[in-house]
Amino acid sequence: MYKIDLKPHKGIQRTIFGPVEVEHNQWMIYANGLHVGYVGKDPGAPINIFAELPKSMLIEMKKCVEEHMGAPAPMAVAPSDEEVGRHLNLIEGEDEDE
Amino acid sequence: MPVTETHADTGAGATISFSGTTFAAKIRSIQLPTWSIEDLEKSTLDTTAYKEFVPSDLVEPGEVSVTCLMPTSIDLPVVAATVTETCTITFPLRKVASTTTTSNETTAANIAGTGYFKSFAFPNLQLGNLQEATFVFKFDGGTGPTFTKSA
Repeated sequence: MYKIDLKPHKGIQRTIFGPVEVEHNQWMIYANGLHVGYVGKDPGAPINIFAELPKSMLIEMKKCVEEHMGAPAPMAVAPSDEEVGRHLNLIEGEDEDE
Repeated sequence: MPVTETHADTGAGATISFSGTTFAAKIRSIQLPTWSIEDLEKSTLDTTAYKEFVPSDLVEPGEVSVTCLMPTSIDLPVVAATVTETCTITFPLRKVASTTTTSNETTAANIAGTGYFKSFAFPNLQLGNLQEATFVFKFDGGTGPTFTKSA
């Protein structure tokens, strides 16, 4: 069981009138208090994670993000992460017909 | 007491991501943007020593240039005038130490901002060379770019 949180991604933008706080169009994903990735706010935006995480954490994260977004959120999967992709049923043509 | 970084760090572990593009190629290097402001020369006929300057008003947000292993099994970024999204470059998490404690960062430093894919250069295909592609993401100055320090 992991604690998954989505927090707004805010930053300070320098302007000719001085610094202004802006909010980026994406959420920061935290797992057990550790920043592990991002997901865009637009429906269908991909989940981007930084490093290899436990598969169980990825599954829970994806479920949590999709509940929050109200739409499917694909994982950004690098070519070498096929094992993870298959496990999450994210790679096209894999497991869908089984 | 202020916290001091005591660990110099390399680029290992840095990542780049996009809010709308599912592009997860294996990255070889990330050239971060240069923020710069134009010089306006204000020398007059009575200036007698060095040229005199004032800074212009607006800052050039710059662009990110990325070299990656050529991904042939995933969709490439879309270079088009109609596509804008948020690009985020995240620094590796570091260990941070004060004079009394050492702890790990929980939020990595990052640079983020809206923009667009300006170019995608396909690799040279030749014997004995890695297939490396290079793409450029241009910050458009809409939201950000911002640098957020780690925590």
